[in-house]
Amino acid sequence: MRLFKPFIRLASLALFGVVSMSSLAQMEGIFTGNYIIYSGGIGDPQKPISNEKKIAIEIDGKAAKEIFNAIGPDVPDVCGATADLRIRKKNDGALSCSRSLKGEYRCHIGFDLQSGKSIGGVVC
Amino acid sequence: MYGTPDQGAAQYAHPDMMTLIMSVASRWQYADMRKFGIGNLSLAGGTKFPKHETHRSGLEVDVRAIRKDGKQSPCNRYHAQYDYDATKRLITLFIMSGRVKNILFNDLHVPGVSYYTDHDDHFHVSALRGI
Repeated sequence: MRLFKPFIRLASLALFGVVSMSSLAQMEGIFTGNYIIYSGGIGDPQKPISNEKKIAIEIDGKAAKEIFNAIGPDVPDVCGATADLRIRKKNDGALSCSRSLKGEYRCHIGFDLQSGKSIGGVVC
Repeated sequence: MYGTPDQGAAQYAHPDMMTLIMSVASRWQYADMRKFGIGNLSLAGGTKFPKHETHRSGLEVDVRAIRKDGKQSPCNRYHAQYDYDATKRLITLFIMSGRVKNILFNDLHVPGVSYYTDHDDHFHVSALRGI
Protein backbone atom coordinates (compact mmCIF):
# COMPACT_ATOMS: atom_id res chain seq x y z
CA MET A 1 0.00 0.00 0.00
CA ARG A 2 2.88 2.31 0.85
CA LEU A 3 4.13 1.98 -2.71
CA PHE A 4 0.86 3.35 -4.00
CA LYS A 5 0.75 6.40 -1.74
CA PRO A 6 2.90 8.66 -3.92
CA PHE A 7 0.93 7.55 -6.95
CA ILE A 8 -2.35 8.33 -5.20
CA ARG A 9 -0.98 11.72 -4.18
CA LEU A 10 0.11 12.48 -7.74
CA ALA A 11 -3.20 11.28 -9.10
CA SER A 12 -5.02 13.49 -6.62
CA LEU A 13 -2.95 16.49 -7.62
CA ALA A 14 -3.53 15.78 -11.28
CA LEU A 15 -7.25 15.37 -10.70
CA PHE A 16 -7.35 18.56 -8.65
CA GLY A 17 -5.48 20.36 -11.40
CA VAL A 18 -7.91 19.19 -14.04
CA VAL A 19 -10.87 20.24 -11.89
CA SER A 20 -9.29 23.63 -11.29
CA MET A 21 -8.63 24.19 -14.98
CA SER A 22 -12.14 23.02 -15.75
CA SER A 23 -13.54 25.49 -13.20
CA LEU A 24 -11.54 28.28 -14.73
CA ALA A 25 -12.84 27.39 -18.14
CA GLN A 26 -16.40 27.55 -16.84
CA MET A 27 -15.82 31.13 -15.72
CA GLU A 28 -14.99 32.29 -19.21
CA GLY A 29 -17.42 33.35 -21.85
CA ILE A 30 -18.93 36.10 -23.90
CA PHE A 31 -21.21 38.48 -22.13
CA THR A 32 -24.19 40.43 -23.37
CA GLY A 33 -25.41 43.80 -22.28
CA ASN A 34 -25.61 47.44 -23.22
CA TYR A 35 -24.04 50.77 -22.41
CA ILE A 36 -24.72 54.47 -22.40
CA ILE A 37 -22.27 57.37 -22.64
CA TYR A 38 -23.66 60.41 -20.91
CA SER A 39 -23.06 63.49 -18.79
CA GLY A 40 -24.72 64.51 -15.54
CA GLY A 41 -26.16 61.89 -13.22
CA ILE A 42 -27.00 58.35 -14.26
CA GLY A 43 -30.52 58.85 -12.90
CA ASP A 44 -31.10 61.79 -15.25
CA PRO A 45 -28.50 61.33 -18.00
CA GLN A 46 -27.81 64.06 -20.54
CA LYS A 47 -25.90 64.04 -23.81
CA PRO A 48 -22.15 63.77 -23.29
CA ILE A 49 -20.26 67.05 -23.56
CA SER A 50 -16.63 67.75 -24.36
CA ASN A 51 -15.41 67.93 -20.77
CA GLU A 52 -17.82 65.43 -19.24
CA LYS A 53 -18.21 61.91 -20.53
CA LYS A 54 -19.18 58.93 -18.43
CA ILE A 55 -20.10 55.39 -19.35
CA ALA A 56 -22.54 53.05 -17.67
CA ILE A 57 -22.33 49.39 -18.65
CA GLU A 58 -25.01 46.80 -18.01
CA ILE A 59 -24.15 43.12 -18.14
CA ASP A 60 -26.87 40.50 -18.19
CA GLY A 61 -27.34 36.77 -18.70
CA LYS A 62 -24.89 34.15 -17.52
CA ALA A 63 -22.05 36.57 -16.85
CA ALA A 64 -24.29 38.63 -14.57
CA LYS A 65 -25.33 35.49 -12.73
CA GLU A 66 -21.70 34.51 -12.18
CA ILE A 67 -20.85 37.97 -10.84
CA PHE A 68 -23.96 38.04 -8.64
CA ASN A 69 -23.01 34.69 -7.12
CA ALA A 70 -19.45 35.86 -6.53
CA ILE A 71 -20.25 39.03 -4.60
CA GLY A 72 -22.77 37.92 -1.99
CA PRO A 73 -24.44 38.29 0.37
CA ASP A 74 -27.54 40.32 -0.46
CA VAL A 75 -27.68 43.92 0.70
CA PRO A 76 -30.77 44.35 2.85
CA ASP A 77 -33.43 46.98 2.27
CA VAL A 78 -31.82 49.09 -0.41
CA CYS A 79 -33.72 51.16 -2.94
CA GLY A 80 -36.92 50.31 -1.08
CA ALA A 81 -36.57 46.97 -2.80
CA THR A 82 -39.11 44.30 -2.07
CA ALA A 83 -38.59 40.57 -1.71
CA ASP A 84 -39.06 40.42 -5.49
CA LEU A 85 -35.59 41.83 -6.00
CA ARG A 86 -32.27 40.76 -4.49
CA ILE A 87 -29.44 43.27 -4.70
CA ARG A 88 -25.73 42.82 -4.09
CA LYS A 89 -23.16 45.61 -4.10
CA LYS A 90 -19.47 46.18 -3.65
CA ASN A 91 -17.41 49.34 -3.17
CA ASP A 92 -20.34 51.65 -2.39
CA GLY A 93 -22.22 50.53 -5.49
CA ALA A 94 -19.34 50.77 -7.97
CA LEU A 95 -20.25 47.16 -8.73
CA SER A 96 -23.92 46.35 -8.36
CA CYS A 97 -25.89 43.24 -9.27
CA SER A 98 -29.49 42.21 -8.92
CA ARG A 99 -31.67 39.14 -9.35
CA SER A 100 -35.38 39.46 -10.02
CA LEU A 101 -38.02 37.02 -8.92
CA LYS A 102 -38.16 35.82 -12.53
CA GLY A 103 -34.49 34.89 -12.32
CA GLU A 104 -33.16 37.76 -14.42
CA TYR A 105 -29.64 38.78 -13.46
CA ARG A 106 -28.16 42.22 -14.16
CA CYS A 107 -24.89 43.80 -13.15
CA HIS A 108 -23.80 47.41 -13.56
CA ILE A 109 -20.48 49.17 -13.61
CA GLY A 110 -19.50 52.62 -14.78
CA PHE A 111 -16.54 54.88 -15.33
CA ASP A 112 -15.78 58.55 -15.64
CA LEU A 113 -14.17 58.64 -19.06
CA GLN A 114 -12.13 61.73 -18.22
CA SER A 115 -10.46 60.31 -15.13
CA GLY A 116 -11.02 56.59 -15.60
CA LYS A 117 -12.41 56.34 -12.08
CA SER A 118 -15.09 53.81 -11.26
CA ILE A 119 -18.39 55.59 -10.57
CA GLY A 120 -21.03 52.88 -10.74
CA GLY A 121 -23.63 52.49 -13.42
CA VAL A 122 -27.04 52.21 -11.84
CA VAL A 123 -29.38 54.00 -9.47
CA CYS A 124 -32.40 52.87 -7.54
CA MET B 1 -42.23 64.15 -17.57
CA TYR B 2 -38.57 63.43 -18.08
CA GLY B 3 -36.47 60.32 -18.04
CA THR B 4 -35.04 57.46 -19.98
CA PRO B 5 -36.18 55.95 -22.22
CA ASP B 6 -37.57 59.21 -23.59
CA GLN B 7 -40.81 59.93 -25.44
CA GLY B 8 -42.74 59.16 -22.28
CA ALA B 9 -42.02 55.45 -22.41
CA ALA B 10 -41.56 55.29 -18.66
CA GLN B 11 -44.84 56.79 -17.55
CA TYR B 12 -46.60 53.66 -16.35
CA ALA B 13 -47.65 54.22 -12.74
CA HIS B 14 -49.49 52.12 -10.20
CA PRO B 15 -52.83 53.71 -9.20
CA ASP B 16 -51.42 54.33 -5.70
CA MET B 17 -48.50 56.24 -7.25
CA MET B 18 -50.86 58.24 -9.46
CA THR B 19 -52.84 59.20 -6.38
CA LEU B 20 -49.66 60.27 -4.61
CA ILE B 21 -48.39 62.40 -7.50
CA MET B 22 -51.75 64.07 -8.09
CA SER B 23 -52.12 64.78 -4.38
CA VAL B 24 -48.68 66.39 -4.14
CA ALA B 25 -49.09 68.31 -7.41
CA SER B 26 -52.39 69.84 -6.34
CA ARG B 27 -50.87 71.07 -3.05
CA TRP B 28 -47.66 72.25 -4.73
CA GLN B 29 -49.45 74.55 -7.18
CA TYR B 30 -50.96 76.57 -4.33
CA ALA B 31 -47.52 77.68 -3.21
CA ASP B 32 -45.33 77.61 -6.30
CA MET B 33 -45.86 78.31 -9.98
CA ARG B 34 -42.84 76.31 -11.09
CA LYS B 35 -43.40 72.86 -12.49
CA PHE B 36 -41.55 70.01 -10.86
CA GLY B 37 -40.06 67.24 -12.96
CA ILE B 38 -41.23 63.69 -12.51
CA GLY B 39 -39.89 60.76 -14.47
CA ASN B 40 -38.72 57.19 -14.57
CA LEU B 41 -41.92 55.57 -13.33
CA SER B 42 -42.13 52.14 -14.97
CA LEU B 43 -42.12 50.71 -18.46
CA ALA B 44 -45.12 48.94 -19.94
CA GLY B 45 -45.44 45.44 -18.54
CA GLY B 46 -42.97 46.14 -15.73
CA THR B 47 -40.01 45.08 -17.81
CA LYS B 48 -36.51 45.81 -16.53
CA PHE B 49 -35.71 49.49 -16.44
CA PRO B 50 -32.39 50.55 -17.95
CA LYS B 51 -29.86 51.85 -15.41
CA HIS B 52 -32.27 51.40 -12.51
CA GLU B 53 -32.52 48.61 -9.96
CA THR B 54 -36.20 49.16 -9.28
CA HIS B 55 -38.85 51.18 -11.17
CA ARG B 56 -40.71 48.07 -12.28
CA SER B 57 -43.82 48.08 -10.12
CA GLY B 58 -45.11 51.56 -10.88
CA LEU B 59 -44.60 52.39 -7.22
CA GLU B 60 -41.30 54.25 -7.66
CA VAL B 61 -40.73 57.65 -9.20
CA ASP B 62 -37.79 60.04 -9.58
CA VAL B 63 -38.33 63.75 -9.00
CA ARG B 64 -35.84 66.42 -10.03
CA ALA B 65 -34.50 68.87 -7.48
CA ILE B 66 -36.15 72.27 -7.91
CA ARG B 67 -34.17 74.95 -9.74
CA LYS B 68 -34.30 78.60 -8.75
CA ASP B 69 -34.78 79.63 -12.39
CA GLY B 70 -37.61 77.15 -12.90
CA LYS B 71 -36.01 75.60 -15.99
CA GLN B 72 -37.05 72.05 -16.70
CA SER B 73 -33.59 70.56 -16.68
CA PRO B 74 -31.53 68.65 -14.13
CA CYS B 75 -29.82 70.40 -11.24
CA ASN B 76 -27.74 68.77 -8.57
CA ARG B 77 -27.52 69.91 -4.97
CA TYR B 78 -24.12 71.52 -5.48
CA HIS B 79 -25.30 73.74 -8.36
CA ALA B 80 -25.92 77.45 -7.86
CA GLN B 81 -29.42 77.01 -9.26
CA TYR B 82 -30.35 74.41 -6.64
CA ASP B 83 -33.30 75.72 -4.63
CA TYR B 84 -32.97 74.07 -1.25
CA ASP B 85 -36.07 75.65 0.27
CA ALA B 86 -38.35 74.66 -2.60
CA THR B 87 -36.94 71.16 -2.86
CA LYS B 88 -37.41 70.71 0.88
CA ARG B 89 -40.99 71.97 0.57
CA LEU B 90 -41.72 69.52 -2.23
CA ILE B 91 -40.23 66.58 -0.35
CA THR B 92 -42.23 67.56 2.72
CA LEU B 93 -45.42 67.42 0.65
CA PHE B 94 -44.57 63.87 -0.39
CA ILE B 95 -43.90 62.84 3.20
CA MET B 96 -46.99 64.60 4.59
CA SER B 97 -49.18 62.67 2.14
CA GLY B 98 -48.73 59.60 4.31
CA ARG B 99 -48.34 57.54 1.15
CA VAL B 100 -44.56 57.31 1.05
CA LYS B 101 -42.44 54.32 2.02
CA ASN B 102 -39.08 56.11 1.75
CA ILE B 103 -37.29 58.93 -0.06
CA LEU B 104 -33.67 58.77 -1.20
CA PHE B 105 -31.90 62.11 -1.61
CA ASN B 106 -28.39 63.19 -0.76
CA ASP B 107 -29.04 66.62 0.71
CA LEU B 108 -29.36 65.38 4.26
CA HIS B 109 -30.33 68.84 5.49
CA VAL B 110 -33.76 67.97 4.14
CA PRO B 111 -35.67 66.13 6.87
CA GLY B 112 -36.98 62.66 6.12
CA VAL B 113 -34.58 61.61 3.38
CA SER B 114 -31.95 58.89 3.27
CA TYR B 115 -28.59 59.00 1.52
CA TYR B 116 -28.03 56.75 -1.45
CA THR B 117 -25.37 56.89 -4.13
CA ASP B 118 -26.18 59.02 -7.20
CA HIS B 119 -29.14 60.84 -5.72
CA ASP B 120 -27.68 64.34 -5.94
CA ASP B 121 -29.85 65.69 -8.75
CA HIS B 122 -33.13 63.96 -8.00
CA PHE B 123 -34.94 62.24 -5.20
CA HIS B 124 -36.37 58.74 -5.46
CA VAL B 125 -39.79 58.15 -3.95
CA SER B 126 -41.14 54.71 -3.11
CA ALA B 127 -44.89 54.75 -2.59
CA LEU B 128 -46.79 52.59 -0.18
CA ARG B 129 -49.23 50.17 -1.70
CA GLY B 130 -52.88 49.97 -0.70
CA ILE B 131 -53.05 53.19 1.36
